[in-house]
Amino acid sequence: MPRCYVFESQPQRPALCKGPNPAKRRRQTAGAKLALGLALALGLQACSEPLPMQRQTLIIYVDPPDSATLNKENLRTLWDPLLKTYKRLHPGVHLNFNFVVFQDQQLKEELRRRNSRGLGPDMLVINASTAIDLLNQGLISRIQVPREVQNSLQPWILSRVKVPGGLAALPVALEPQLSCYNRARIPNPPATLEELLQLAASGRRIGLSIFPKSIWWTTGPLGANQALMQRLEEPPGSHERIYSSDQAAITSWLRWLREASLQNHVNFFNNDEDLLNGLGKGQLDWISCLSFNLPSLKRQMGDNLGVASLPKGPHGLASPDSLLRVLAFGVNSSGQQRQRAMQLGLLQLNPLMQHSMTLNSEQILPVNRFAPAPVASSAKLKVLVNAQEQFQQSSLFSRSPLAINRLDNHSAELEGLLTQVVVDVIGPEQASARLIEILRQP
Amino acid sequence: MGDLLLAVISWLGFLQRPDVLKQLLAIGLALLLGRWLARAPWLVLDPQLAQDIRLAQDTRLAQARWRDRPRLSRWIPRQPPIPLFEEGALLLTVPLLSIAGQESGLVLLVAQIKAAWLTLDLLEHQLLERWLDREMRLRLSSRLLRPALLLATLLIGLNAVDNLHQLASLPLGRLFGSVINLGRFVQVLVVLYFLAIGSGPPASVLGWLCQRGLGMGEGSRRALELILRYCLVSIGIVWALGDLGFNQTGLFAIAGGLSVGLGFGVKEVFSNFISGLWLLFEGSVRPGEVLIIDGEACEVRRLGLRAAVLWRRSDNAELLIPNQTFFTSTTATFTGSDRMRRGVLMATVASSIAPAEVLARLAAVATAQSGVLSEPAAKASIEKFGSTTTDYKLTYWMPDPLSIREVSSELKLALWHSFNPEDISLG
Repeated sequence: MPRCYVFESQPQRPALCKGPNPAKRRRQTAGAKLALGLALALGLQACSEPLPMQRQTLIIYVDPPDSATLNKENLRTLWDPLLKTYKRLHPGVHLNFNFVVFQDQQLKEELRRRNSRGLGPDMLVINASTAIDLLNQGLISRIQVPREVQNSLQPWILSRVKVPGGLAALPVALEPQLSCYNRARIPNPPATLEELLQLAASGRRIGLSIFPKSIWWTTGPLGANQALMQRLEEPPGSHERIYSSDQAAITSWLRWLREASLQNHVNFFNNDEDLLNGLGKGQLDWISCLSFNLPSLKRQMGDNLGVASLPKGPHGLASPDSLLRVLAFGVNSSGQQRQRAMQLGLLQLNPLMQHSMTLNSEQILPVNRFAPAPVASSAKLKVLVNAQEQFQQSSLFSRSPLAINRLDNHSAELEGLLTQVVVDVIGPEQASARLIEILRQP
Repeated sequence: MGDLLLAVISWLGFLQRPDVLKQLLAIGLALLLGRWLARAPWLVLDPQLAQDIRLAQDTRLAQARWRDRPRLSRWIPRQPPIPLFEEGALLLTVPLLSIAGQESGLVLLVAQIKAAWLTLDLLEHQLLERWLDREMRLRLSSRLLRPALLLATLLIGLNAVDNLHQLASLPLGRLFGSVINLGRFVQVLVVLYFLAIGSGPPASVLGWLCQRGLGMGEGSRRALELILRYCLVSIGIVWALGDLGFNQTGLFAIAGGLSVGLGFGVKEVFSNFISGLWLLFEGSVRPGEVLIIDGEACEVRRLGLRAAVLWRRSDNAELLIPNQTFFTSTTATFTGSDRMRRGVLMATVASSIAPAEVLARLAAVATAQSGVLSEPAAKASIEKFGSTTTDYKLTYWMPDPLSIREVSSELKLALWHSFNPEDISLG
């Protein structure tokens, strides 16, 4: 005898009992739910099928070289010219971007978590060294790039992203390190380290970073670059004998840092952001900076912002850093998303696009050797090119990607050591021995 | 606002990914499997129940049927633990997907969120049920615990598809020269909500301390609590406006707009609000007071922002009376200086009984009556002599002003028993 059940709030209606068998109704409901589920799944699948007007969303993670406030609006504006060109080339495709900014420290952990959910990015704008690290951990995809595209890159740039079986990422721009100063306070930028200290002695406020990669530019003029690079390039845990001349060069560099810190108007900072804020707010007159920082400094300082190459020294040119910005590709993208992302990446390497990006931004340099920077059009670009040449001539980083990774790995320890030197907790001799120990660690 | 919209649209792009679709499908299947597994063993153990559940049209009904049945044994729960099985099925799906070489983080995230809700259910049903009464438990759950967990779920979900810090910095627009961004706006809303809801317990504790320390009455304690809550919420609003970056010009503009609004549209609302505050400070209409409304004694239950809620004992009705009514019209209260109420009873007694004897008997019966105070004493007096009857008036006092009907009825019954029915007539 079938029974009728009703909710308390619903009066019992005998007529319901005369309807279809409740068990049958239940099966029908279950069937309807299953059909709905299937329809939903098919509908979702259909979303990924090509439509007359293809709409694709690309999630792009950006790891800024500093903690500058990059918001979605800024990034959209930066990418707008590229997107417009892409639309002209692919009129049937509508691309929508979502830019998500992560700082270097959190990027790896976020990628790991998000990739495991299938919610990772389609593209990442990161440094070449970060890309290699992420690829080694399986957090981004290795890519295959046509031979002619590879040929268009400068060989040293290609070597920075080349991995067995392809590339870790697609190089798109260079951001060299240079000196930024307040033209109202310093009419002529210092050409040598001696002039830099003289400026400090005359009351100009000099800001130096204690962060190893940011202060590395001083190793070239002070003769320690070669010795330090050898330590970085040695096999981990090596016990090879150190030449006394090498040790002396490193000690001499550390001594200069300590003597500079004794000057009243030379200040060392643990954070590059403090350096930038100091110059922007008029609390400092001279700092080392990255070309990437120029727009934010320009907004704060206006025409008072001056840029120049970093000072040379008794042992030669400065050995500045230069960030190689690359486009890496995520592991969760659909086939179409990957295709669109790759099209967009390759478009960025196009000589015309590289030329216009360089000219419009005046903060990056092209990586395509067939697209030379238009130095005649901009004095600022000329300084950037000079800084880049300095990097390639004197900074051994340009020839050793592994050395950069090793330096990054020991960055925190080195920063601690350099801090102890500039506050005179340990002497340069003792510090140089400790520094060599750190660099030799795996 | 445009950036926010673009970000929201871009999240749909995740649905274009096979990894995401597979995980969503796995979540759906795991939930269905959990539901099925939750019922299956019990169906075998109890065929009658199996029949009931087969006939049941949905889960809620199945659970209701389950609750109504006696326990089969100690280890069988009184209802199918469907959420528990769904959770189990989700957690089981994670390693299965991993073994199959598929991403499983999204399934794990859903399982974690579901586990949090399950824990809240357990907390409500196992712990809070023992400590709190039903109304308080429901209030705590629906106003504080569940909104808080919902907010946390929402934030976790947003952080899964985007960067929460970056989303928070998205500008919503400009108001009086200040840029309002999404994070600040949501933060202010959340703080104000939890301040309005969560200010109750601290205000109660402070009110209780004041009652104990200063010897306040119950009505004063409730008034103090309400005033404290108003103060906290007011401070919160001022903080919120400051935190949103409203400049003084903006605040003046709002004040100006409100002034015009008060003059026209919202005059009554504002008048009621101010009246409510004034009455609280004055202490004439506080929770627990007994007032005469339309000739009947009513007890004040709550004094709200707009209206007071009064309880009428005769028909158990709750009256919502705008605060300004008490402010602009005469209100009789039985609880101003004390809580005593005087009752009057008219009696007509046959002239054959000596008036002195009647007066004494009336007073004695009233004094002996429960619910009538012995001090001030009940008093009888002669109102009028007639040819065959004499009219008497009996006045008596009671401690509970709301019990006039019951006391009067019992007193009449006692008098009726005290005299011969043909000798007395009670008005």
